[in-house]
Amino acid sequence: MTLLLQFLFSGLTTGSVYALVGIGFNIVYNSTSIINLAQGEFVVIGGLMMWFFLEGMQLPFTVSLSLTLLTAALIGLLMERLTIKPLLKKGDLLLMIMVTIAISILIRGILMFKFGKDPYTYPPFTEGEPINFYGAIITQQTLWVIGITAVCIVLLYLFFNKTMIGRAMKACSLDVRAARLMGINVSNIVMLSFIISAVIGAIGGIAITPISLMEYDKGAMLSVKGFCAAIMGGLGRSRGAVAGGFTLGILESLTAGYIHSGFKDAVALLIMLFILFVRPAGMFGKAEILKLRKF
Amino acid sequence: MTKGNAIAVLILGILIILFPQVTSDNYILTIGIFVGINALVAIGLTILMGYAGQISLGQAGFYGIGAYMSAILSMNFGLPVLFSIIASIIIASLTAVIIAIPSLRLKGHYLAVATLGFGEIIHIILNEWGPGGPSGFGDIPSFNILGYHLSSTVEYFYLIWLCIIFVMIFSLNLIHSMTGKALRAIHDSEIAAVTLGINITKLKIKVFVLSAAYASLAGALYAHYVTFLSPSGFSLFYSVLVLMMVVIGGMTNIWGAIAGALIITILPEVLRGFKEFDILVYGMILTLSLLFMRKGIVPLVVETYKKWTLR
Amino acid sequence: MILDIKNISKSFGGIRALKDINFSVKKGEIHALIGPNGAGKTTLMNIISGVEKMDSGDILFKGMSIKALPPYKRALMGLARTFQNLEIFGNLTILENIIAGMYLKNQRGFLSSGLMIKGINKDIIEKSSSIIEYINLSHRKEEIAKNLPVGEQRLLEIGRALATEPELILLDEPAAGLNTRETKNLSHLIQKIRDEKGITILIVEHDMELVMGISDMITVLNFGEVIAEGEPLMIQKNPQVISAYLGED
Repeated sequence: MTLLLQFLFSGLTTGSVYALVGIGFNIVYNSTSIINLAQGEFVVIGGLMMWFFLEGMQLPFTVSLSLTLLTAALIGLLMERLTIKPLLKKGDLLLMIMVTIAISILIRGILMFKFGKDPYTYPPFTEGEPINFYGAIITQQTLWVIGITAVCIVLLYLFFNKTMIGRAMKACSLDVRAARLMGINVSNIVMLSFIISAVIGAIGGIAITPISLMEYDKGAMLSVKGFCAAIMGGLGRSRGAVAGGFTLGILESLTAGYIHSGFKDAVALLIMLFILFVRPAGMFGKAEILKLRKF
Repeated sequence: MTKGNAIAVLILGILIILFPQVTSDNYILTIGIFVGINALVAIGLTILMGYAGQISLGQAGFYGIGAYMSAILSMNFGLPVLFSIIASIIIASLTAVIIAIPSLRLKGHYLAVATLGFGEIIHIILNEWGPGGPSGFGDIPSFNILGYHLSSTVEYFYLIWLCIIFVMIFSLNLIHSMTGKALRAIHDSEIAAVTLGINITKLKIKVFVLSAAYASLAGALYAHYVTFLSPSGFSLFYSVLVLMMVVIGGMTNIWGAIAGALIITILPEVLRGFKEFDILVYGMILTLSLLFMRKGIVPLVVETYKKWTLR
Repeated sequence: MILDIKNISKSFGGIRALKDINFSVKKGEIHALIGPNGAGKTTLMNIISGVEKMDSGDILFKGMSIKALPPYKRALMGLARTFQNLEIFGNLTILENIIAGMYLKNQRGFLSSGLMIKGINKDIIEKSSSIIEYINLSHRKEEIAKNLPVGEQRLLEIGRALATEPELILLDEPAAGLNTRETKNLSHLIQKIRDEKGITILIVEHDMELVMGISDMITVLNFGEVIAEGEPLMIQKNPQVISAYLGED
């Protein structure tokens, strides 16, 4: 029982990151109908850049945090302006997938050049004794990860429903042409969606690194798992991605705990294939036609 | 096959024969062998992507099945190498059919991610259940036929490039046949193709299987050449490398696969001593070619040549 | 009768696009399907060719029910079509587009294609060339299809349909985007196809001059229902048809 609780909490922790990556997928998907296979790289950027500012440059925590998020936002912006924007008009789905793959390799290359192949970590956000919850040991950082994810979800909800920009983004995802007719600058919305999803990914990376360490090549698997979380909840539905992320995290940690740790990664892949083959609309989503939106 | 292609195959054949005469440097010949192995995989993906318009990020999976199956069948079951290679191609092809039937109903990025998922599952299986686990295994029999064992690098060079000649002839014939036209038709408009009586599902599955067969042949040749296998060479990154070869070489022309394989295989050798640059350079090349050279090298060269001769 | 449409109905999200449609196309005739925008003509074309499913009803082609057949099998039986929003193979040349159309009668397996047992022989090239001549595109033969003007792309689609050696061709607004001269040529071509090749034609078209000029029989759809059927002169005088068209404007 204690063991089960322990697994559940570790599942929730990794699941939080999957949920954040999944939300990132959805935000970009909703504004462009692109699957951004570089999504997971932003988690790595978050973790490694945070280490760089915090440990490498010995900057205070809040400064490091701001600089890391700024870096991620900037990379998201550059990615959109330099590669997505010029190619989006071509309307070639194959090309868009390949570009996001290219960017992910590029980011990975830069990170490896800068940080090498070693894993990095830094101290948890707060020092202090782990909490004993019915026998399960929960570190304070675990609570940080879950808490930060929760805050992100609430903030995003408020952003998309209560602010003008957020609503404009939502409008774009429903009907690009109508949004354009309403005077919304669609190009800026696309850019913003890349920035937001980059920042969300980075937040996940910053929070998880003290627990699970970070290295340059973690991005690909994180992308796959975030995508899995996103399609579990039905692509484009952010609440679905949260449910999907947590479910996936827990299933993974149960597999690693009770079956074999080597099969941990297989869980996400098998779920993903199952959903793609059997229910492409996700567990609660509705079927939709998959085409690159016209710009 | 067109006249131009027939001449090109002939030239390729002559180059292959001459190459080991010009250089007897084992290092260069070895690189030549790896160019060939990668080209085999890339030719399959070119037909799949450039002609049928279907993406795959799982070619490493078929490459891995070919390598591991042929190695295990010849090592543990004592099958002659030639038969173990054929058997491994059959196994990979059957796997491809099973994957293709549900996958090819999917489009675009869903197909990309589904094939990626398949490839990674194979990678995990090799890691967990492959002989030697993550550290791999050795003592795989070298290639032999009718009691003759290939031992020198030159012999392997000829064997692999002979395979490429056959694969190129087959592929060029296919592309210039009725079937090839039908494939390109599917790429441009599935709805029109189907109303012309083209069974698009069946054709897509067949091309997918063909690409898997080429990849598994390459894998099997690789296994019997290096005689040592570990799962690390069969990861997602290999699938991405093959994708790079196809994009850079130009996916609308299967000669592009050979050009792409040449560039991507030689690149890390050129960057020797700057090991940490590897991935960065790969990333830059892929990004830049997608941005500024979408057609790829070979189609660009062909176009320029045509313009130049018309003048 | 080469084509019998029996009680076809189709709804989109609660809205009935087609209500209990019945009509028949006589072999060797040019049969037009007309009606104001949104009458359900293209939907009906899609259902007949099999790219869209119907809710209920049946389609008999040469007396056999084809409602369960996938589109490619309908094509194999001799049913071809063109598309309102052009679906040419843009990256192929004109010749290659036509050759792709001939795939149906000249299918080869993968293996025999790769081993070049019966590739694209002279016979196929000659046949394709004669089709290109038939649709007056000989001067464009080697050009990439997407570079053609709309009018010629429409001709190409007809040529490609002819290449399948069909018994019935569905033409979906073949005159859309054509100028007067092109439309005139088109009407000659359609009549030529009927008269010389004996191919039946079911045409959806807005250009009334074209329709009235070439059709043997006309079926009028309005709001998903057949409101009139008859020869051109009868249709022109039919008060229901007149009000349907006037009501639109």
